[in-house]
Amino acid sequence: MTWTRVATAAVLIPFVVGLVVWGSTGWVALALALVVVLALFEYFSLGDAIGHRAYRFWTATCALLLVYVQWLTAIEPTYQLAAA
Amino acid sequence: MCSGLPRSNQLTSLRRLDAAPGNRTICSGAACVPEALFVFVLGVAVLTLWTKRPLVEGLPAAESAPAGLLLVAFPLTFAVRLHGLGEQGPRLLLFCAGELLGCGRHGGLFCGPCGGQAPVCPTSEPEENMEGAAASFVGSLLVGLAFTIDG
Repeated sequence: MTWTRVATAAVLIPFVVGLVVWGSTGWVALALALVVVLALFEYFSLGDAIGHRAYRFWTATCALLLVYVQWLTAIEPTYQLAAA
Repeated sequence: MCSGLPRSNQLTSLRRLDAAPGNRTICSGAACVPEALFVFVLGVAVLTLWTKRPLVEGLPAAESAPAGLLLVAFPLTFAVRLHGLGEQGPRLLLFCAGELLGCGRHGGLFCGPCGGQAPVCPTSEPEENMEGAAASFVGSLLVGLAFTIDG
């Protein structure tokens, strides 16, 4: 189990660091959307074990919507009004 | 969805904030996080009340879905905001990932089982121990130090 984690980290860490350093915010958002969906379904599988069947499809859809909204907020310009 | 009103106290004002006191930020018109969360709540209400699923199943589902969104998905989405914070964004994102996962989590994961003797909470977390927590803390300090040295 531990060595599986080590091997996964050894493969994924260079990929993630490269993506974060050299990738655009859009690519980071795409990769993060995949991670968010996987994490959500892992969480829902834990809930299934105690009989809580959540609204998987709707929650995953809204999670993707949140990632999209955060990406829009990250790339859109914001403006400042100076105080009087 | 944002109406162009000053929103300096909301999440949308995270980017390019001016340090001068009294300055206010305007969201330029795209959808914002509160609106997305409102749509989610509406959908959960519709799925709970207007489907054939019995309430004895629907209410736990209505409890689990927001918990998953708020505890799992919502914090992760701020990585996009961090990455979009100009030139310092990727460095900040790497710093957070390094602190939380690289050393905070894995320091405890690998150092704890090697020589840990004092359990933290044997009933709920039998594999966690104080030595692993200390290793996690030291690892986090090392990551912070590395980022400080790097500039």
